[in-house]
Parts: sequence; C-alpha cells; structure tokens
Amino acid sequence: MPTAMDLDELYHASYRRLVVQIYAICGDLAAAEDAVQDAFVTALRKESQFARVSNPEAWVRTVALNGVRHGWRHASVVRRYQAKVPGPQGSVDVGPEHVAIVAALEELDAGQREAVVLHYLADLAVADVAAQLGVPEGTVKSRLARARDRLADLLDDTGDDKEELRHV
Amino acid sequence: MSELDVLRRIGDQIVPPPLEALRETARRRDRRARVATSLAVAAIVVATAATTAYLGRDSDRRIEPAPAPTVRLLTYADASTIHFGEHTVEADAPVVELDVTDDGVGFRTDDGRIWFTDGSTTDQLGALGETGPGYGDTWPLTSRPGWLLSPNAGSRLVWFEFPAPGEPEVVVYDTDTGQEVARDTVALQPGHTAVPALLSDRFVYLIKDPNPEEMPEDQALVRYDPATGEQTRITEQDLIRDLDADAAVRSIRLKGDGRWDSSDAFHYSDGMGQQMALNLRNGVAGVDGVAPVGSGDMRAEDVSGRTFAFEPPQDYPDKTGVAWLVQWLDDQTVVVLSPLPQRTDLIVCHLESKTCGVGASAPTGIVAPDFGKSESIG
Repeated sequence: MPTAMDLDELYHASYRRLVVQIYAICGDLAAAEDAVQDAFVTALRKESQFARVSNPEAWVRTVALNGVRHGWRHASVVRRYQAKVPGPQGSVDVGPEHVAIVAALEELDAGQREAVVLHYLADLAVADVAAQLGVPEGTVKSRLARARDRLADLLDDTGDDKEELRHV
Repeated sequence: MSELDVLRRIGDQIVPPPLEALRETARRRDRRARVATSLAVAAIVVATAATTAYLGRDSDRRIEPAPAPTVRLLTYADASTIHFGEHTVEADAPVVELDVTDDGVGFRTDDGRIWFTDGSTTDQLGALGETGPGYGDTWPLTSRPGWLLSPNAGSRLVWFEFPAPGEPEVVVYDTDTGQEVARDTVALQPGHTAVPALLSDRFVYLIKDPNPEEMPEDQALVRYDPATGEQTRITEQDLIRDLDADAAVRSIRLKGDGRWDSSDAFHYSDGMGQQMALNLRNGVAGVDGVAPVGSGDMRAEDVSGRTFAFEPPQDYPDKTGVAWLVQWLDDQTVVVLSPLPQRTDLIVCHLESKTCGVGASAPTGIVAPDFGKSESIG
C-alpha cells in the first residue's frame, strides 16, 4: 500500500516518464504536464483510496490519460471547481526530431497510438496494455501491428528508424 | 537511436514542480469543495423557500423554452447495431443499455464495456466491472434499467463502475468536451448496494439497497453532488423539492398518479420511463389517445401547462398493453415506445400539434434510451 513517502517516491520516479508518455499520446507537452499533475493532485486528494491501489503508477497514468483523451484539455466545467495546478516548470526544448515522431504518432488512430505508447514507451506487456485499455490482447496485438506498419511508412525518410520499429 | 528513445530524452529536460505545490493545490480544491457544499446547501434553502413562495403548493411555475434548443436523434439499438438518426453504428458486442446526450449515444455492451459514439467514431469510456453480491437480476424493476444515464438535454453522461465487487464508483462525464468531470466512490457499508436512479443538471440520485418489492419513492435515496463529491441521504420530499427547483423545459408535470406524495399537487418529472396508454379510447384509466397513465386518477401537463396527451398515429392498431416515454428529441417532441407482439414502434409525438406518427418500426427486443430492452407485456 502506498504511503505518503511512497507517493513522494512515486512522484519523483515516475513524473517525467508519465509526462513523456502522455505527450506522445496527446501531442501537447503543456497539456501532458497538466494532466499528469492533475492526476497526482487527484491521488493526493484521495490518498486513502489511492493507498489501496495495487499499481499506483498505472493508476496515475490512467487518470492522466482520461484527462487528455478526446479533448486534450480540461473542460471549463472542471476548471470552475478546481484550483489550477502549478503548470510547466521550465521550458523544454522540443526539437524537430521530437516533432517528427509525435506528428507520426498523431497520424495513428487513438487506439493504435495508445497501444504503441503504452507498449513501447511505458514498457507494458501486451496483457497489461490490454488491461489498461480494456480491450482483448488480440486487439492490442493487431493495433500494434497496424501501428508499426503505419509508423514505418510515415518515418520512411529515416530508414534506420523503420527497421528499428519493426524490431522493437 | 530509435525515435522513441528520442522522445524518452525529452523527459530529462522536464522539471517536476515541487510535490508540495501539488499538495497545496489538493488542499485548495478540498477547501473549495467544502465552500461549494456550503453554498449549495444555502442555495437549496433559498431555492426551496423561493420555490415554495412562488409556486405555492401546486407548482404553477412556467418554464420558458431555452433560446437555442438542442435537437436529438431518434435512437435505439437492435442487438449490436445502434440506430442513431440516419447513422448506424456497429458495436463490438450486443448493446444492453444506452442513453443519449446532445453529442451522441452512451451505451454499454453485454461484456460490461461502456462506450460513447457520435455516429462516426466510437470510444470506450469505461467498464462496469464485476458488481458483486447483492446485485441481483430484479433490482432494475425498482428504478431504471441499468448503470448508465443522461438527462434530457445537455452533455452529461453518468455511469457506475466497480473497481472491486461491491464497491461502486459513480463517474460523471462530459460528452461535449470528452472529459471526466467527477469520479467518486459510492459511500456504502459492506454488504449494502446502490444503483443510479436519475439525474438533474446539478445532482445524481442513487437508490441505496434497492428493494424490488417497494416503489421507487419508498426506497432510500442518496443525492450525489459531482461538484463537491458530497453524498447525502435525502427524503422523498427533498427529491420532490430538488426536481421542482431544477425542472427544465423537457419535463412533465404530474399529479395524482398514485406516486410521490399523496397531496393534490403537480410535481415535475423528466418523464423518462413514464408509463403511457396508447389509443385506449374506451377507457383504461379514463385515458384518450396517447397520454400518461398511473395507478390513480392522473393528470399530466407539459411545462407550459398544456395537457400532456396526443392523438394516436392515424390508423394505429388498438392495443391493450402499455407504452413508455423514452426520449425527448427537442423541447416540443417526445418519443413513446410501443412494444407490440411482432414489432416495436417508436412513436413521435408533438406537444404543439398534439399529433403523433410512427418514427420507426423495429424488431421486438430493441434497446431504447432510458428504458432497456423492449418487451411486449400487453
């Protein structure tokens, strides 16, 4: 069960990678930071419930993912009742190489993009991706296969990457 | 280096805000929620007093139509096919319940997954999970059929999820923004149960420990406020006051139907699931045409004070069963589900002209909004 100290450790250990994963899904770094911070705020507000969660990082990721899904930004109806989170803490140099991969990911449909990010960036097993997305493992495998093909085509300009993606 | 590793490297540049700043945000939100609770209580007291003074005992208030009324599409599901106006959406599995918002259709498939479709794209929003002991097959008889509901206008969709058996969470979702607005664990002692009952612009109402042998108004009611997370046990009178205060254009006024309190007063209802008589011109409960029918001598009006009754569709066959109000398409148009032995008709009735027509004829056993599976019981 996560304690206050565990939450502190979880925050510092996982914040960056969660932001990257959410960024890869929504394509907006500020929105990703907002969503991850909001998810940790939710965890802090529901500490007793959070303490019973078996996989706290997956819980935070799910809450953050729900936060960015579809609309990418929190709705005014939510903001009306919620104090603002601190926001991005410093400028991040998003170079053209980052833009290229995020742009390619954006070309995938949402289900494929989430599967790719959870499997390849969050390093979740196919079964865990299936559990997180609430779909059968076969669906995850087919989404990954289609996504790999699509990304390979999209990133065709960088030949090494195509080969790399096929073998990840 | 793979492109994905390039993305990972962005993480090295990200500086997390101090966790204490997030703790302060959490504390501020908690404080704000408590203030909102106080304001909501005060508002209810003021609204109740004002409502009582203005409406008198008979709820004579007239509600003006919204300036830009939204239009919804005639909706039902036949097995795994959802008919949504001119759209046809194929679900992954048979649909067991659905409800409509201004933006599309929320539905649950028989594998427990909860979805939303706008007619072109479909996204999974959640999953019911394993409900656990105490949730039998008969409980829907006490309220509405299922775990998913939406109001007659707007973008709010509410459902239950069970992260663990017997421990439901209530989820409030905005189908316009695609954002989860609230999610809270339903406060239950071990061994107790709760189901969603109805929804207003402000609150979600739950029935605690539903008992199929009791009428809905005799059940234990809980009011959940998504803005604050507060869950409050309320009385039937509290609910009546809330519904009167929050009544919207797409409401009906009912009196003497043998439900609610026994006083001779009109009370507002969203009308969903209201039992209707259909073309019983020769006198079941004294109803002519298409009109609500209850266990008592019932009167029903729309919010403008017009009698809520319609001419049946031309040449519509007599039937001895009942029909049900299942959908508002706009401020002036409702849908009545007529389950017949060989088919199900969705009859569209207009408040202004008082006329009805058959909007769609579908097979038996379709799933209708706020109603569940249609079965002929006549």
